[in-house]
Amino acid sequence: MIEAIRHYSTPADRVNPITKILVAVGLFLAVVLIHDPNHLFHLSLLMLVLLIVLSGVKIRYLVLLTATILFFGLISSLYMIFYGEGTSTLLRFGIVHITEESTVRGVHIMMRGVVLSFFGALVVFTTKLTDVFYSMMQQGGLRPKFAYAFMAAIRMVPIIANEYMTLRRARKVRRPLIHRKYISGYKGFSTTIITLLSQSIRRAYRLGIAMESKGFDDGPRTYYHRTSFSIIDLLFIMLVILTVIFSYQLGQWYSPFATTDAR
Amino acid sequence: MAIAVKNLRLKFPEAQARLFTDLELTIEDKEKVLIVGPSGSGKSTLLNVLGGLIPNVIDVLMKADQLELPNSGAYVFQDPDSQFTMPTVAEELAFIMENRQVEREDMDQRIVQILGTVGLDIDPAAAIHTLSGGMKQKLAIASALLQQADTLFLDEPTSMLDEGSAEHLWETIQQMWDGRTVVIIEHRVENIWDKVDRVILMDDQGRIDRIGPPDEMLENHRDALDAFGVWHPESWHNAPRLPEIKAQSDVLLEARDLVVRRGKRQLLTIDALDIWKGEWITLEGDNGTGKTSLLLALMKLIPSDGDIQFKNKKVKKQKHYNGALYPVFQNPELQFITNTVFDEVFINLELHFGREGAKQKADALIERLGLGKVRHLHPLEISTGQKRRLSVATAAGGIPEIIILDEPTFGLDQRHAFRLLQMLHDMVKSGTTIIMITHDEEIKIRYPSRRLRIEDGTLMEGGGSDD
Repeated sequence: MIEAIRHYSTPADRVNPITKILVAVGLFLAVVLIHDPNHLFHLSLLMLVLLIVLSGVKIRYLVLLTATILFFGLISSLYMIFYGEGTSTLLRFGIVHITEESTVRGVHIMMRGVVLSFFGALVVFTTKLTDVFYSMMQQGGLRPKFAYAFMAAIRMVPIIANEYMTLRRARKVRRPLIHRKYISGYKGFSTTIITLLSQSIRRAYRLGIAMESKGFDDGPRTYYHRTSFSIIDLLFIMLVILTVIFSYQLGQWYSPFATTDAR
Repeated sequence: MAIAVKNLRLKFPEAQARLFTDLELTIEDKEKVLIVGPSGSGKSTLLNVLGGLIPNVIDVLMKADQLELPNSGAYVFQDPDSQFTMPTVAEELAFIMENRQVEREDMDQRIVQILGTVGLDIDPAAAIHTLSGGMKQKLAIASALLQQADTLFLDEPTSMLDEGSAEHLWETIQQMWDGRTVVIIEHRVENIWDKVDRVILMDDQGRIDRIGPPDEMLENHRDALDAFGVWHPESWHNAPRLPEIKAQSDVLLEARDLVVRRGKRQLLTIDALDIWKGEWITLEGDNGTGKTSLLLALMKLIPSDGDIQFKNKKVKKQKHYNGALYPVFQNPELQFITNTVFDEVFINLELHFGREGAKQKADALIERLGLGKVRHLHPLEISTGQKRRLSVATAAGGIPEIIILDEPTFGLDQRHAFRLLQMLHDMVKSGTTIIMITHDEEIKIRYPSRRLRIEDGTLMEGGGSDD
């Protein structure tokens, strides 16, 4: 599905999924420890550049995504902006009390979210789910039993969604004929869940048998997707570290915020 | 000898009695065998024993005096959606080679080669969920071949396919079955009956009733086949002969300038469609032409452009039909909402006929469809054929004026299919309109009062070009 909105592949595709996850964790810690809003401002801009260059996603989708991320970022910052403490008042309206300090803090929080969202989007766009599991088996020591069970489960999701659609239609049609008590409230909910569950359990059981009949076991195996750590991983890590450092330098050079500590 | 079983005894943990006692069977090397029998006869269980799934994978108590099984067997199961692990074709085929520890370097070439063998002309990177049912089953056969099995076990491989795909699949199977032992369970036998070496008939007690070459079985043991309700190439000689019913003069449903879409793609445009009271209509068309979508659009369950009138009243929403238009979907499980078979039929009648009246009517319907023995069971517990009959029973109470059926005879044995057709006939006679999707040529030429088919994105009168 993601492939449909991409128009070229990038070096980031070849970065090991485990590296990406570890870098994401590292970036999270770094972002939490950055208190200078100027630093974070430039970091979010650079992250956007990385996303545009390295994701390979068509630009109109990126515009849409960026707008969404900014919108939700703004919403999450509003609480801090409206009700945060501060001394130099900008606006007072009922219980809303906007101060300079609270605004900076709110925007700071928003930028944290934005940085992580941009990077997260980059990881999602450049990583195939199957590669994650293949990598976790080959480099992470995950047992094949679990990895393939997960991959099979992911395959089931659209099937279950489809079944749910059919089930809803069937109920819609029956509704005029039967007493409301059979499909409304708890009873309607529980029969829906039981039906979907029983279908899924049966399918999972059959799939399990099918997998074993195809010679699947937890023993040694070869891998169709070979994942490994390579120089690309190192370059990717360096790139992210340099981005963090460089954005700090940029923050020194151009500071849109008056303060260097949002706390 | 490829397979030899002597004095096989097997009992399921929750069952009261043994499924098999003293079962004896030998299958020669490279023999092609067809197993038929009523549902519940233990065909699938037997197949699972022969392929070693029982007791290795499925934990069931069994014992045999002699058990000679093939070294390597591979299965093709009936449900295409529950036998694949991976998202794409190549990954699925690679999954098998990974299990066999085939070197990575050899995989790509083998994938291309095996897809060629089964005649599957697709991009290996294609996602499995985009394939049609027939293609999925071919992929399942490719998987089985990749296991380098000397014996193939086919468990109703065509039961979810339409007629054309089923025929095509059997051709594919025959092309590659030389040099292999093949054991087949199948309901729909017309394509395969005279191609196998022997037919095994199982009774409803888990015993092998008789074994013989296909022509001899047909000649000498037709009574036994019929008695167990098993389909055979001459089953349709027993089909009920029903007089054609003239449609009544009232138009029930009128559709004008109907446009049906799937996603953004325009699937169907229909200038005018009138459906009369007391018609028996079959709807034909290849897979993916939009038969089901058309019916959903008529029911207002998916959005469509154009005008639909029911009894001269404009229908804008599903609820404007007020239960007069009732569908029986292909997947009966998803239509059930109560905890017993009886309630499932009863609640549809309750509001209309009152408690007592509904009870009597529900009892009669349940008996008529042969569900008396399972009336207290949960609808999800009963067999596939029983579920299908139950879903028809919920429609048949006499309230809906148009009943829409999506492949109602799928998976039914001969006896129940004929009984169902008789019942549909009776309903039409009493003024109900039936619209059914069916791929079964025999039904199409025998019963409907009108045939519709979808071709080139529009609806036409008359049967398909293949007859």
